[in-house]
Amino acid sequence: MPNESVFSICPYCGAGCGLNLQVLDGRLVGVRPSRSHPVSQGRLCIKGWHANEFVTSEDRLTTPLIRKDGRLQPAPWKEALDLVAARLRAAAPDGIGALSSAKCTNEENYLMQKFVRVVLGSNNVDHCARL
Amino acid sequence: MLEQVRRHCKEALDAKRLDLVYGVGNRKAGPAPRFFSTAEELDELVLAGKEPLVFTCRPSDRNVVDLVRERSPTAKLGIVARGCDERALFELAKRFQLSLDGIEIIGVACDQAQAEECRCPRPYPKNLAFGTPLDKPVDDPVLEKLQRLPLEERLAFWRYQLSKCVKCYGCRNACPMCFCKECQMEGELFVPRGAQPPEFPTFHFVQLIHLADRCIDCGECERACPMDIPLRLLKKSLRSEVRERFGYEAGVDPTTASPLGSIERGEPSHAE
Amino acid sequence: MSFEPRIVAFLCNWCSYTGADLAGTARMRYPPNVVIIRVMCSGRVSPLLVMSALKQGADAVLICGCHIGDCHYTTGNWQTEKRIPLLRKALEMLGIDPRRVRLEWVSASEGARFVELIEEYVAEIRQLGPNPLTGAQDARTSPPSL
Repeated sequence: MPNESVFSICPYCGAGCGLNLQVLDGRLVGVRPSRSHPVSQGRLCIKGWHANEFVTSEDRLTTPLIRKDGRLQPAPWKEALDLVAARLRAAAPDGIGALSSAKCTNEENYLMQKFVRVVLGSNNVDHCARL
Repeated sequence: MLEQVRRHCKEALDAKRLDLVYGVGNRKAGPAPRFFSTAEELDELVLAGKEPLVFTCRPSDRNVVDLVRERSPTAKLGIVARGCDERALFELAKRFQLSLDGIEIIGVACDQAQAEECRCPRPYPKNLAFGTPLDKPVDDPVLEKLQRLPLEERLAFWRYQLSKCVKCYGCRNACPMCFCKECQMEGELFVPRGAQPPEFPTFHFVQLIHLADRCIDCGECERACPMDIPLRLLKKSLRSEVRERFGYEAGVDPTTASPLGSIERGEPSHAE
Repeated sequence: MSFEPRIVAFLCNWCSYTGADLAGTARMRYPPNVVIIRVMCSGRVSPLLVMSALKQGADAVLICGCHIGDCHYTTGNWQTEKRIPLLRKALEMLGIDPRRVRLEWVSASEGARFVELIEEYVAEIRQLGPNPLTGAQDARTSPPSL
C-alpha cells in the first residue's frame, strides 16, 4: 500500500492528542489530527501539527555524547551510564536535579521522584510539562 | 449506497480499470483516508466521517495525491470523493499542485444531514456517480446573523473571536488550498514574531486574502481550530463576493481559471 | 481637538504620482492629511499592505493608478480593479467601514482632479471618524452575541 495513515499519540506533552501519521513507502511525510480520538477530537496545537518533522531532523541524538577535550563526542552506552553513575555518587545531593517527562507513565514518574528523593537525597524534581 | 460504491470499486480493481482506490477506510483507531489496492481491502471503505481526502503534507508542502502520483505516475487512480474533496482536486489541479490525468473521480453526494452538519452550500461533486444531489442549498444561519450586525458590533465580535487565537497554524495546516512554500502568515513582514494573540486582524487577514478566490468552503479551518473561532464565516463571505462579482466559484469547474491572476475576456494581454 | 484624518495614498509611478506632482508644480493647494507612497504600479498594492497601513495608524487608504487601458504594464490596473473590491468586502465583514479604502484612477495630466479627490476624501473620512483599528481596544472579554 503506497500511503498509510498510522494512528499514534503526540509525543510532546501530557495531553496526549491523537495523530494520524502519514506514511508513504515507509517514509513519514505528514501528520493529520485524529478526529475520532477522545482527547483531541481533531484538534492539535502547533507542536502536534508539526510532530512529524523532528523524526528526520539531522539534529537528533542517535548515540550518547560525552564532552571530552571541550567537545561533545559519541560514546558507547556503557561508558555514558558509568560516567553518570560516578558523577551522581560524587555530587552533593543539593547539586542534583532530575527532569522527568509528562510522556512517562505515572509509575515511571513515581519511581523517578522516589529515586531522586530517597536514593539521591535531593528535592530538585521537575518535569517537561512546561516545554 | 456504500455497498454500491464498494462494488463499483471492486469491479474496477478486478477489471484492472483502476490500480488504486483512494477513500476513507475504517480502522480500530477511527476512520482515516487510505489507499486500497485489493478488493478485500475495500470491505473497509466507508463514506461516513468528516475526513478530508485532499490535504497538504508538511514540511514538503505537497498534497497527498501528488505525492502518491509521483511514486506511481502511471497508476490509474480512483478517488471516492465528496463535493468538497472534488473541489479541492479541481482547484489544486488548476494551480498546478497535482495532475488529474489518470484519475477517475467516483463522486458521492452527501445527504441532507451531512450537508447541514457541514453547512455545505454544495454537498455533491460534479462527477456524480452515487447518491442524489440536494436540490435546495443549505443556508448558513450564522453567516446571515453576522451580516445583519452593524459594523461596530461585527468588529467587536471579531476582536473577541480572534483574540482567542493561540497561533497554532491549524487553520493554515488543515487547509487543502494552503500550499505556499513561503507562508505570509509566518513572514515577519505582516506577522510580528512572538505576539500572542497575534495582531488583530492581520494574522487571519493574510489567509483570508490569499484564499479569496481559492477557498473551496470545506470548513476544515474551522474544524481544526482548537479555540472554536468561526474562521469559515469570513472565507465564506469572500467566496460569495467572488461569485457575485466574477461568477467564479473555486473548485466547481475543473477548467475555468480564477479571475484573479488571470486575463479575462476584454482585458489586455501580453500574449499576442 | 477636532479629528484630523491621516490618509495613506499609494500612487502609481507613471500616472497618479505624476498627477500629484503636477498639482505640486502648479502650486495647487490640497489638505496636508495625505501621506503619499509611490509604487511602480497600482497592481503592486497588495491588500496586506493596505491592512498594514490601517494597522499602523492610517484612517483611510487611497489607491490611485492609471485609467483603465492606460496601464504602463498593460494589465496591472485591471488586476487592481478586481482585487480592491474584494479587499473592501473583507474589511466590511471584519467590521471596518469599506469607505476607508478607495480606488481611483488619476492620470498624469489630472493634477486638478487629484486635488479635488483629496479634498473630497479628507472631508469624507473626517466625517467617518478615526479608524477603529487604531483606537482604544474594546476590552470586552465575553463573546458579543451572534
